[in-house]
Amino acid sequence: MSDAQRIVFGQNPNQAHHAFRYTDALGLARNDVMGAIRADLGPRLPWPAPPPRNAPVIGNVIVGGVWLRYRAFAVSEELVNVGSITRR
Amino acid sequence: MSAASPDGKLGPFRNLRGDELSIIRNMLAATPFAAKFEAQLAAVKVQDMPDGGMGSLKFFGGRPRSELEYGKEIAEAAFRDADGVAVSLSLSVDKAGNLFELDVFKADGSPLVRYPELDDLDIIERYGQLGFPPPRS
Repeated sequence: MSDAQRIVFGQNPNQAHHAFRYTDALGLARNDVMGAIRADLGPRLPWPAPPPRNAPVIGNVIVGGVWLRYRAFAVSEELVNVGSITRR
Repeated sequence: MSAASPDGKLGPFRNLRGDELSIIRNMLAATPFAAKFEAQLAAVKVQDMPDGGMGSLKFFGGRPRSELEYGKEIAEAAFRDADGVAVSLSLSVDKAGNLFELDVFKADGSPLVRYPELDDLDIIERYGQLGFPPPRS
């Protein structure tokens, strides 16, 4: 895990709902999804903000036997925001 | 930008606005799907998604479709909003190949200020690679 950038999944309930809407529909526990993504992202931080080409980083993780694709932006030197978690 | 309710529900049905239509057409132009969806776009109904005002849209496909019907992403784009914050756009189809969502993900989750001029819209092609997008060719 990075000491420099904290990983969040939206910064209010609406954003969290939007980030997890697919994994909720799949019946995956949010804590499991967050844990897998944090484990995938953490070793690769820190990232620059703003990002190259204004585009997010894309990554894949597997949770409960389901491959997921996530998008994540570095918001600042302190924060990475994960959103748009879909089935790969 | 969004008429979606704050309680996780979709907004009312409406037509695409002109700026949304231009952005989606521009994203589709770089794909094999442009001709397929061109006739639909002018008449398609959409609903604002409850994403905190980032501007995500759900396309109406003649019946309610759950997230479980998500198929795949067919186009990606990015731009910098008027407040300087990066914004990612992802256009997807359902498992039957019909337009499904325009997902808008603003880096800090704040409401979208405005869509960019088309010259400022960056169409992203990742060539199947993860991580950061490749440099613009």
